[in-house]
Amino acid sequence: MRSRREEWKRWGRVEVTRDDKGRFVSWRKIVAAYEGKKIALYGCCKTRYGTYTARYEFYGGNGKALQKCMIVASRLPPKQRYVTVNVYDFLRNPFKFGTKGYWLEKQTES
Amino acid sequence: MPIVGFTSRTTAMLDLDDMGYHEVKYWSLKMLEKFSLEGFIILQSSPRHYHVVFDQEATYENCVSIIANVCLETKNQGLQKWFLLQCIKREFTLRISNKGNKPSPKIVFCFGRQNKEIAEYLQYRQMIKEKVKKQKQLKIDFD
Repeated sequence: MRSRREEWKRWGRVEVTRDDKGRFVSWRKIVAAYEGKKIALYGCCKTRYGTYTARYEFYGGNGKALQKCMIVASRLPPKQRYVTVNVYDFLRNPFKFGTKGYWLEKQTES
Repeated sequence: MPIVGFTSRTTAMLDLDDMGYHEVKYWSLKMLEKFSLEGFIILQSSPRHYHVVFDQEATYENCVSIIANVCLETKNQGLQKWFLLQCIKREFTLRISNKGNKPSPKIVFCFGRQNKEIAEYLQYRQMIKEKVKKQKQLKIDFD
C-alpha cells in the first residue's frame, strides 16, 4: 500500500492510496488545518472510558455560542483525548464529541 | 471545572516559570530586538511565573524558532517542558482562566505596538473572563 498526494480537478488536494501493483484502493480529501485562534478547554476527566487528560479546541462562532459551548463542555468531557471542533458543530450535536462524565480538579499542563 | 486557554499557531508566546520579573522583562526585550516582534505584554500567572505574548504575527515555523531560541538562551526548565508540549500539539496555548488556587493571569507590563496579535489575545481574554464569571454566577444561583 502506498499513499501519495495528488491534485484532482474536482476535489482539489487529495491523498490517494494504491496497492503494490498500482491499483486504486481509496482516496480522501485533504482538509487544511484551521489557522485562526481557538479556545482550549482542558483538564483531567472521568468518563465511562476511564480517567484521562483531555482537551477541547473550539473555533469560530460568536461570544454567546462560545459561552453555550463552555457550559455544555463543562458537563460533557470529550470522548477522545483531543477534540478540535467548530462551535456550531459542537452545539448541534454535543454527544457526537462528548460523553457523560465529569472533570476532575487534578491540575494538568497546557 | 476545566481550565480555559487561548490557542494560536501564529502568535509567539512564552510561559516562563520560576523566573523573576526583571529577568522576564530582559529576555522579552532581547527577543523583541532580535526578531523585530514590535511589541509584547507580560502577564503574571502566579508569583515568579509569567506569560509573554508578542504582537508580531509569524508563521508556525517562525514561532517555533523564536521559542526554541529563548529556551536555548534562558535554559528555563519550565519553558522547555511547555515548548515540547506545544510542539506535540503544533499550537501554542496559554491559560486564561484560574487554575486551582491560582488566579487568572494579570497584565503587569506592556511595551511597543499592541494592535495585532496582542489586541486579538486581549479580546479573547476579556470575552472568556466574562463568560467564566457569568457561568460561576449561574452555578451559584443554581446551587
